[in-house]
Amino acid sequence: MNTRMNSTASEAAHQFIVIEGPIGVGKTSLARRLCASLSAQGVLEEGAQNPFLERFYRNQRAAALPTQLYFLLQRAQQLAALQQQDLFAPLRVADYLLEKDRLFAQVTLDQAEYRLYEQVCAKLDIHPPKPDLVVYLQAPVDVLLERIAKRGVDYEQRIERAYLERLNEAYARFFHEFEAAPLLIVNAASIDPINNHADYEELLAAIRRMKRGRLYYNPLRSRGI
Amino acid sequence: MLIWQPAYIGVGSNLEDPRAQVLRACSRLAQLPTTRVMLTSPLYLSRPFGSIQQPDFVNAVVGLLTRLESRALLTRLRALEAAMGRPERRDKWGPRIIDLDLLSYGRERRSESGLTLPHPGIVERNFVLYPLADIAPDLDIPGLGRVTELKGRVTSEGLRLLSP
Repeated sequence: MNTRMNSTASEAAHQFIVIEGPIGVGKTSLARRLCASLSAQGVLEEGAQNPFLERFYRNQRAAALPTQLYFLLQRAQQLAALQQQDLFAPLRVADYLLEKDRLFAQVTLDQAEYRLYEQVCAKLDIHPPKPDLVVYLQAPVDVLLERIAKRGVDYEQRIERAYLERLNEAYARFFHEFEAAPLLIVNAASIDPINNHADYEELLAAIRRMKRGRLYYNPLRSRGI
Repeated sequence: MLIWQPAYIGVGSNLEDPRAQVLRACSRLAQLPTTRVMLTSPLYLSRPFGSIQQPDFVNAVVGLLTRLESRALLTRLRALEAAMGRPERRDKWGPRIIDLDLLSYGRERRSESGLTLPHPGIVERNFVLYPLADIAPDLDIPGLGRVTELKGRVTSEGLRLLSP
């Protein structure tokens, strides 16, 4: 039985949407908003639960490996739970791609640590569901720093500009080569889909229209000063 | 439960400053464990059903993301009603200080004592469908259909948007 019979064809197309982008760009907020307005399940990162994260921001070098392994195991567990409860094939929105894990590992780990990380990865043998749309939120480092300051999570205030720059580059490289799913690249610096209803509705319409290939979403509008 | 489920709660009150009760319930919902209030509809004023003489209701719908199971969420809603002063005995159409209905939870469909999902009253209640359509017009309620379409099948009789 097609339980989504009543929805339009464009909605039926997306069953699994992933929001990605660097720290502070607003992925989780957007993912949550989409979940609530589309009644989607949320596959959301629990960054605050990672007991190593605070240590990591205090001393990256010393805490990078446990931080990374904790995230990897958490993501593996969450994605495994996702595969088990598949009765109604619900709409899902996630705020991370599993590939993100490796992307961060490459930025934060040294060579020996990375080899160990790779071995753990191989043992875990995770098969995440394939997204049918990835939304990549992009913003310059200044905007990220501003948003991190605004959301005011204590340990995040230690995040350094250089680290965000490296992450931004890593993300740009990763998505430059990304072909696994249709990709909507959003200039998140110029819109505020969380607090501005019109911005949200426009972005949602763009998400719905997006079927294949890659597209830059960069609404130019005068917003006053 | 590692996955966050979308759930929609109908909130209503017609006793002891109903508007304040509804707002208070919304903020109490935000304090439930592993739960976040994502969307809150505008408030509506609705005329009561049935033959009992009673004041108008204030209604709203809240969209949550939660990691509580549906049963656990329902238990929390009942506890919240009790904490806000609602007596145990539930008259179907009588006046009440607060009413919290679990309207829909993920794509769950179930029919057991005390918990029917989606809530069977949704389709006939404009004071649920109007505020629900304000926050989630595209929501496809399992077995019932899309909120916008359901809303189109009821009139707005007895219903009035409260100015914020």
